[in-house]
Amino acid sequence: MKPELIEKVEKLLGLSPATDLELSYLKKDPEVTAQAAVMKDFMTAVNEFGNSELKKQMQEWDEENEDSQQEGHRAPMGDDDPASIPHAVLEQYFAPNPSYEVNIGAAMRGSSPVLEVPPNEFDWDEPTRLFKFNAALKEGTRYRIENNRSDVLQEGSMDAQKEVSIDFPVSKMLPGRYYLKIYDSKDTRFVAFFVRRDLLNKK
Amino acid sequence: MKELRRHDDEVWIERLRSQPDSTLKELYKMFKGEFQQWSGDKFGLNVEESLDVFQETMLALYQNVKTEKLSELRSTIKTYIFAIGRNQAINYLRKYGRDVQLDEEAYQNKSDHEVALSYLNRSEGLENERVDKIKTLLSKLRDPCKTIIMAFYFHRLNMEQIAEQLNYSGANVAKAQKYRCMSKFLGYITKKQ
Repeated sequence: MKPELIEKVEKLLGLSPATDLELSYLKKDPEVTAQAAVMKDFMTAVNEFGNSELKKQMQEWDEENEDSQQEGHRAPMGDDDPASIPHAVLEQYFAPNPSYEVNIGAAMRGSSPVLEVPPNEFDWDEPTRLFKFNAALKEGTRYRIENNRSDVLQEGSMDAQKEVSIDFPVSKMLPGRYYLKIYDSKDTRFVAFFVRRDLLNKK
Repeated sequence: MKELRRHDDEVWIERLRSQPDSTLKELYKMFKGEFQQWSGDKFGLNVEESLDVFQETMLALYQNVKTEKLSELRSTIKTYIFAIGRNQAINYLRKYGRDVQLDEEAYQNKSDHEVALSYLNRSEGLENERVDKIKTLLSKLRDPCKTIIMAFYFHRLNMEQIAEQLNYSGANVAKAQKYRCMSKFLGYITKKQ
């Protein structure tokens, strides 16, 4: 089939843009309409083939997920030297979690206090970290610390104060990107932080 | 976790069009666990069934986005996916003669269902020898023709995107290659008949 004919058939089938005038001519062209039947079967086949290929990919994603879950269930630390972790693995530990990243910095609805210090993507270097808000936290505010694979590592309550400390055993954590979720009855907010970010910058 | 706001979720449509593989994978991983739990509780599907329904749901989502049946989200992406999933699960139960209890909730947000059903209404199971032959030929096709044909006709990428994917110097080069591939491929289909 010549390229010109393919182009016309694609227009008739809506695969390429066409004006109403073009379409009215194409519908009356017997050569184009005859080849359109072949193209319709072609499109059906492409869709079915494409879907089956996508399904195979989904099975691969499931297998990847099983592998990474087994990784996550290992003890987060151990005596391994974090400096010995391969760079490719470090990149996975530091990869952002898109579903959390979207919410970071999102405008707050409601009246829940906003975290002022530390800023997003801070480095958690010492076991105890002080968090400062623009107003006292509400009663019942809680926090949760997760890694970038949504594994919950620590959770607890936060005092109804403007400044609250959290103890987190960073020396026992794998290097990587983590998320601190602070939530009360109305709002949830996220802030990202890093453990041993210096290791990622080394190559 | 806090529900994504609507205008954030619109981003998913653009991302599915421009980066289908990575975006679909992201959505797949985000919602798989919850979907299986939900469909198991709501429809009595076992693990394998709920996985099958979820995969069909993600395919339907992708189909709707790339054919522009879905161009604007009236809800969060999660709500939309679960609306499609509801229809997929109901279809699955009916196909295998299992009881389906429909409640009013199933008919909320009818517009989402209309869009989702447009995929489900495609004819299934019709024998078409030519379609089967084309699928066999596609499985044997080599690159770059396979990538170009699937990128344009399945993923509905434009020529600029295809050129970038294949490191061509421009859209016209990709277009010319596409027509070369298609002329040969269609000639082979019609010759085989």
